[in-house]
Amino acid sequence: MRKTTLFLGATLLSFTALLPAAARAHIRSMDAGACQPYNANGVRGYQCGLVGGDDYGVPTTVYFDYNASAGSIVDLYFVRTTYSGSISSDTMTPSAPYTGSYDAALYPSTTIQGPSPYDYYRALFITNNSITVYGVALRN
Amino acid sequence: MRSNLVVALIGSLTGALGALAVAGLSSAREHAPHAERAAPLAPPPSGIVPPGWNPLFVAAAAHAEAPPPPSAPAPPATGPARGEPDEKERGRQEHYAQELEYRENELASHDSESVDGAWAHGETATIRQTLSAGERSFVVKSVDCRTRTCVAELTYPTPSEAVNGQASLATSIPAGCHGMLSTLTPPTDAGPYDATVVYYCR
Repeated sequence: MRKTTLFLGATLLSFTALLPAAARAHIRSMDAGACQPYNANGVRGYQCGLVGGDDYGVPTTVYFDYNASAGSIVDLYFVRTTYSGSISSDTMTPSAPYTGSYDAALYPSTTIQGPSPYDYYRALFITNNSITVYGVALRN
Repeated sequence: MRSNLVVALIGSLTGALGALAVAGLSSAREHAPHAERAAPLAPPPSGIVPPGWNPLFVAAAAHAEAPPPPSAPAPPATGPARGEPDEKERGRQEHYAQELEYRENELASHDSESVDGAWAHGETATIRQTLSAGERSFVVKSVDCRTRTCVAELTYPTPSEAVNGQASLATSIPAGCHGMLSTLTPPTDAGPYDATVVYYCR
């Protein structure tokens, strides 16, 4: 009886101690050094490759950190390419005044359907002007 | 005393394993063996060729799946038998089947929407304008907007062109929409190929 109680107590203690740490949201951030200029079919900006995989789960928020000069309209894209060839993307355009530092949050809806740990992710800053990209972060 | 310590230790380990299992972190990682690749004979497609596509309909894929030269090393004895897909490739095939099913469901959902005439007319024009901008390898066959979503049908000269055109579609979502999805269906020949893009707008 005593040993059973001891066993259950130890099990409960370690379970409750580890579960919050194991189940908490993960954040991975990428410095602008992981980004490169993007120019395709007249669409210009910067793109950053992001880390996927099974350590993180489905992204719920994508943070785009950048500084825009006056008159810069920046369209933000989060693109998923699956390893079986499908492509999907979510986009948003931060509201005016379109200048200064942004820490814009995009909440994916299309790109999180049918996830696979082999999915590839990209974040793109599409702009008509020059901007300074600081980095990108993903939260799951 | 010592037996109590052992029991407590076993209990702690059991609890820790339970926590990891609940958090979904206990699944073993799969390390797929490096795929054997033939020497490139032509530039590879810029997009990912879906699994199971007939190589004859996608020229570049035919090179990727060509048999290795005689001097190529034999596959490791522990790997899958030649010609048999490994675990990752089987997963890719299953995932593609799920994506095709999801695509069908999304198109059926679009078809079941009622038509908001005023919005649909304006958004259709916007999508046509966006898809026609710049150099494109496709022609816009049709655009159909309802209440929440729009579906555009694009005709490419070949299935290969459709594979290569996927990426640019993802970064040119028309104003008024916030998301897109494109899953290419298996081609029936190497000629003109119709692709369908779903736009999520409201």
